[in-house]
Amino acid sequence: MNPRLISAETLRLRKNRALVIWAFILTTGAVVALNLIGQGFHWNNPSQNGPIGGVDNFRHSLELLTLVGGVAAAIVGTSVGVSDVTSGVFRDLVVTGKSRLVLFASRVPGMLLVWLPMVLFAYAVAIAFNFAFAGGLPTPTGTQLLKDGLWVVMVDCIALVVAMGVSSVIGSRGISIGVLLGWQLAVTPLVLNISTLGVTRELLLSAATTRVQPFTGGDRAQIGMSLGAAVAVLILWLVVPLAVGAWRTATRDA
Amino acid sequence: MATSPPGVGEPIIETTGITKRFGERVAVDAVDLLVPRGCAFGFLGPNGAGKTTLIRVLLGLTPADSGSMRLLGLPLPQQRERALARVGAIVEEPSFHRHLTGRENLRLAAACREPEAHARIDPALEQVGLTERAGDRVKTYSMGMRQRLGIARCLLADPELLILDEPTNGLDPAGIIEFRSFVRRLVDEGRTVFLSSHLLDEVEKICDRAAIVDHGKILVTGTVDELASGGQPTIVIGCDDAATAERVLLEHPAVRESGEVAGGLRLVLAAGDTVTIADINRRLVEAGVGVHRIEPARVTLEERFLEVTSRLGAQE
Repeated sequence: MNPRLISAETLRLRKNRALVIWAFILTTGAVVALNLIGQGFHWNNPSQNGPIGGVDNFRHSLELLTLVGGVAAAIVGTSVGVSDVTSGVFRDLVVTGKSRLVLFASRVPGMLLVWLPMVLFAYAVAIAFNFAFAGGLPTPTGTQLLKDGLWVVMVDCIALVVAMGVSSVIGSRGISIGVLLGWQLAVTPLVLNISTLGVTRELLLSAATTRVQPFTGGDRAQIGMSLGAAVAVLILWLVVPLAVGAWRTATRDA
Repeated sequence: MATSPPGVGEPIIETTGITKRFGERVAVDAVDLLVPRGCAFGFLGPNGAGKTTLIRVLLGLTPADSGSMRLLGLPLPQQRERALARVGAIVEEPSFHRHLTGRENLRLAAACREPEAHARIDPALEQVGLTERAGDRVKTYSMGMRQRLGIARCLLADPELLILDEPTNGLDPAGIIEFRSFVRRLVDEGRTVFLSSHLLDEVEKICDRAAIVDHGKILVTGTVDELASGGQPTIVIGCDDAATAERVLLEHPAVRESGEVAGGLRLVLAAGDTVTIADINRRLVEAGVGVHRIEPARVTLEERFLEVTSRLGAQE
């Protein structure tokens, strides 16, 4: 890994103000909105609506952080995947003689260095609201918070990597975002509910992330799959988009 | 400038039989090209002649279908990274991340180069006259400023060879004049500038050597003077009766074409024929034509260019 290339990637991302603002809105902003609206209902009618905080309600923030955070990941990841190509800068980077694979590989840590603080900040805000608005309900323990945090980070980071890999292959940001959101928000829930597809549904990213989620219940459709299979599917969703994206980056006409 | 890699004395660009096809269309057709070190070399051809495609092949942006090539004496693609480390290039037009400043864009490019490239950012900006605007976002730059920033990006490599594809596109007249002197400065520093253009005037004024390319083939190559003088010999006659002079001289077996020009006649002679000025003068005087002057015509690169490119068209 070339630290200068990684630093250049983070510079390029964090200086994209529109991208950073939207990613912030879709992570921290979404958490703030959910908690304020939920607590607003509680304040308005305490007998009908309980406080938004407390351990049992924490999953709402977590699911939101992975759902809307997934949208943010698609926006950020596709920007990383295609902006060099669509801006024409990719050609100018290739003529330096630097290996295309090295250029591609440096994007991953570069984008994670920008993305992770956003997700962690949003998660911290979710914790703060959960404790602040617990209203006497039990709050999550340190161990629970660690497990939940790891799960949120994992899901959002996989979404980011998938977005980057897929967009590197497609080469168009708009189409990539459409494909990713269509897949995740429309196709996946549909396929998960078609029971005749049997174990093939285990190949879906959502099936695996739901299997390893650290809380019970939740709004997502669940299918019975082993933990080992879930881990294997998660690794597959990390490796395949990266491999295909790297191949396309190495072979595309610049 | 950095120490030269192995191969000093060899051509800085050497291609043998490079061919690139797009489907059935042959964009670059078995091109053999030698570009010597330390000169400004013009790669001249009409739009669609294959200039940019050859440059893209040289820089590894697209693979060649056949042939071999060496850059800075190093074989490509085997030693591409090492060769391109000392090459700065602008292909078509320089592209940048528009939301970043000029300096930030150079930081990105420097990250792909050797560590010393970062120290070259400010001198490069100064060299192209962009120091004051370096902190502005590129989206606020004019086309000419982006061209200059592109050249600054090339300079980060401390290049032995600069490959510039249509570099004066978008420059205003003052910018073009400035660019010419800039290229000459680079050549004076011992660098080689390979400049593709469809602008004959540009190549004639900037370059020491040139190749004329059309339909993917190199038609002629040499110094700019050699190219300009390489056509059929032409003379200009100043006389008081151009019509009679033309009638008399067209009977001469060495005269291929004639045409009246202001104050006289222009004759194209058969190449290699030993027509003497005295012989022409004698015939005119015997016909009663008053002759003021007889001199070789200066053939411009433009005329030579049109001659060789139209000849190719006629063969097809």
